[in-house]
Amino acid sequence: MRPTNILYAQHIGWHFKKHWQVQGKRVHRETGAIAELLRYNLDIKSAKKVVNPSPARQDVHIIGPVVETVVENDSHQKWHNETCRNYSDSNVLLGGLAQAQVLTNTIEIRRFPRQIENAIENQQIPSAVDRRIRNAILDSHVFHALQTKLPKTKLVDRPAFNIPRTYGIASERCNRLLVNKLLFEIEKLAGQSVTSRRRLLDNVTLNTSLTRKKDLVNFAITTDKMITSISPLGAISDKVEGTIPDLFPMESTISIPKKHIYTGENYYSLRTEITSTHPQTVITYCKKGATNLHRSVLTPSQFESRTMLTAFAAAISRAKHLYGITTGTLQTPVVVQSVQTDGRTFHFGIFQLNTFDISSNVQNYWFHRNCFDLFLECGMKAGRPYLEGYNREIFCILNSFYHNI
Amino acid sequence: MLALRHGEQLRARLIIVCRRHLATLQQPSLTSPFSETAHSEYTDTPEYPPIRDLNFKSRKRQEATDWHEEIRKVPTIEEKIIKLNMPRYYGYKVVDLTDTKIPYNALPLTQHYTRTAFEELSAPTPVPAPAPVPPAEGGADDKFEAFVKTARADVIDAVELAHDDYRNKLTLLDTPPDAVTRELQLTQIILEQLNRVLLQTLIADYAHLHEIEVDYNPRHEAFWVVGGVDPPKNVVKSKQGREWQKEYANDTVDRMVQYTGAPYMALRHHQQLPTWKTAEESENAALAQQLPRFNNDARTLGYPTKYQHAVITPGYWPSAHAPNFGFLSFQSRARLQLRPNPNDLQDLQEALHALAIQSSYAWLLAQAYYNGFNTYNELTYPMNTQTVITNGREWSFYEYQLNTVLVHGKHVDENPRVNFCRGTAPLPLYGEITSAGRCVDFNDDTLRQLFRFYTNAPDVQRSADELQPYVGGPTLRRVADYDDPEKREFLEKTFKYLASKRPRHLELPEIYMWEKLYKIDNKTRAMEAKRRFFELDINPWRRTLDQHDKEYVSRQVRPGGKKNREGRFKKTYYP
Repeated sequence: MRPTNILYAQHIGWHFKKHWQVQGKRVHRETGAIAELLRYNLDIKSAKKVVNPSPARQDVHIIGPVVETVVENDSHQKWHNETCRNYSDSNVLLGGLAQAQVLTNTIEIRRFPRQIENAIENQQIPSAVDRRIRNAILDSHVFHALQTKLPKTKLVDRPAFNIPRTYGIASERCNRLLVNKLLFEIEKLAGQSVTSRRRLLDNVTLNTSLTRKKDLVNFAITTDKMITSISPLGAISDKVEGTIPDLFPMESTISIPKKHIYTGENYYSLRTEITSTHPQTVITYCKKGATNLHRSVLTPSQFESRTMLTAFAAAISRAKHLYGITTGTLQTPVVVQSVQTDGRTFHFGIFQLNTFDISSNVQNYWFHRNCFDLFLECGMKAGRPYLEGYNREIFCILNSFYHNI
Repeated sequence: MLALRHGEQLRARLIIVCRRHLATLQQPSLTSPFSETAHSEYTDTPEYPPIRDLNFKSRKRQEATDWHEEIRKVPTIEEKIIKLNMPRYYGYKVVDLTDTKIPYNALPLTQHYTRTAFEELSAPTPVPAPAPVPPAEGGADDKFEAFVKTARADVIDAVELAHDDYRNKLTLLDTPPDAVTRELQLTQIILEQLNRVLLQTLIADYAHLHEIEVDYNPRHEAFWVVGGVDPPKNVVKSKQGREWQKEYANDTVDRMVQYTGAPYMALRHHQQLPTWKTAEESENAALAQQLPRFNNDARTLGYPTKYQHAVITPGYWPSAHAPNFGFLSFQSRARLQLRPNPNDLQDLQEALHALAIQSSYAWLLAQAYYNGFNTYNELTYPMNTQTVITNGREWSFYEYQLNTVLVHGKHVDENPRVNFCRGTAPLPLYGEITSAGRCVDFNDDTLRQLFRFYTNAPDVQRSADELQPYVGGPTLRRVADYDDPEKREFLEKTFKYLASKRPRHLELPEIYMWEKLYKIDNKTRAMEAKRRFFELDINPWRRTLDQHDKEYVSRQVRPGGKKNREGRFKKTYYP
């Protein structure tokens, strides 16, 4: 049987339909009436439009997640004619730590201040706490029953191959759970005398700007967790020596994207009337697979620079908020501790802000150690959870950071 | 006739001969070494197999009971859940209960579906918690009040800080979020601050708080089966069309229910909370009869239905170290703002009660599944939890006791056990936050109530076997306890695949419109080859979970060598 026969069997009447479509569009014969009416300057309207006037269109106000797109041109409220270098959560310094040092006029010291080092050494973590931390890692990486669609992954050797999407715990959630659980353990150990002097805040936004030679550099950073304290951290009394690297011929602001839309004003999230507003530690999460300007994987130096600049932005915005000055050297330095994690790797550092100026003889200090891994591997292997290479030092450092005054 | 009669006689003789013959044959076996076992086949009083009712209804009921028994015998928690899903490849048709939508008049349905007797507590602090404060010197109540007094300032400080923090966050945004999102975000901040303050205040004196596990925005899901719902029209029609089913046409039917929720926070503990209804009070047939029944389809209220697998999770995957019992959960009421008439207080009150009952029941049920029980296998001990519904300012406090999970089939009429819930109307924690950021009209009673919940020590001790009577034993509770790695991996993956609600690789086959017209309603294509599923009399909904192509094992990695045809496909381990 030919397929056309079947088609005909189904579409019997199809030709009639087509015929009616053609016949339905009759063309009126020109009678000359319009020309005659026009000659007398009479208004001509279609009879259909008189009988069925088209209703005026009304805009529908949609309630819900549809956000109006903000047009990025000079009609924008925050538009400036001069561009500004905008450092935010979505970019890192390409030059890594060296560039960050030049940008902020900071000496790097590859150790923690003496009091912190002593505190880490003298710590005794009970074995029960150790067990709970292991469980906390497993809980946040494996056992939290969230199943969101995770970002696409690619094989390096076969970039065109589409791997089935996996469902699991998103890295933001995983980091949040892990940090919350670690801090919970720390606060249990510390007792109320210490915890009542601290506050924990989530997603604290900091905004501040600085002039670097000709460029204005704006720092718009959201710290995922901020530990604030009733009293500010004391200045570090260690003797510090070091040099600032030479980036010539590069400027320190290179690779920071330029933007017309920014707020130049200083913004620190908490009012001064509230108790415990001093930034003690800022904790930021680095997304798994975060990339730099060239869309390549972050180098350790770039990762470290991000930790430092977060602390720097927090210190600057706090100093401006507290003292109201924007240039020169500070009488009492502002000290901020900074932690960055991607759920596995942790980077700790302590920043001491001595000066705002880039060319001042007084320099800022950045105490830090290399990145640590909280564990080597964690996940499900052949249907069983496993955690390998757990490193308890991370908890000790975080604990001593929390206790630092 | 003669021939027939003769035949009868012949048969009778034959039987007698056979009996004799059999008897003589058994004689030598008495002297054989197995004589004792053969002898034990006989008892003084005859043991007959049970006489089964062979009518249609009873057979169906027996099949169901057998299946429930099969589920009970499955050794591990995950396998039990997979087993529950086995009959449907594309998932069950479920009534979709969520914490985001409580329709008008949902309380009777909620009480019917969860078999809950609700008791509203009118006074602001009526709950004399059984043992809120551990026996301590100097009077328990005094100590408790002292805690409330010391924490008061900290709590006010935390509330003010949360408001200040959130107000600042809002100023940074170009377009402020809608009211629901605002409430969700602000309440999350307030709760995390308050939880921290309360835990820090109490942890030194209440040892149970040391072992508390805090879940942030966990995923609470539970699945259960409810009986006593009126049959839909098509079912009635279809049964009326068959002579032998006519009498059952108007029998009630079962409905599958799936609850999905995400509270702000949930606290868990290794031990159970003390019960507040005794076993005798829980078994009350008269009360069970008085419970509200909602016989209409849930869609009449506005609950949607959808097809999905039975997903059960109390916020975490089964693990050896996880605290398995709920202590306290904080539910959201942000979406109740979207009700058509948000100023109707009576309606809001009922919605809050319904939300509390649903969320408490679902969380406890999920915990029960993780202890080896399920919607078809009854609990052997009661389970308790505490629930708070809040928007930061208004706080409603509920306590729930789960005594039974049997609501399906005839149990909805016959089960004497009842679950209990009691709760308060919303109590304000503070009057308002002034524009200067100060907290006004702080309500100590609400704080006291919150303290009661935190200080309610979970102290019910049960042995591991008592806690999980239906699992494989002390060495086999979870899939991870199996020795075979292949089996572990298969079951773990299947379990999480079902829970992920991921769409199937190939969608459910569809009857196209033209097929309905030309092939089903009017048989216009009789000569065509019958290849489509409806022509082959295949019901895709009846496809079971294991009816799929097995995974191919490539020759390179095939166990037993490249030429081994036995191991071409990966084994499956469906329960």
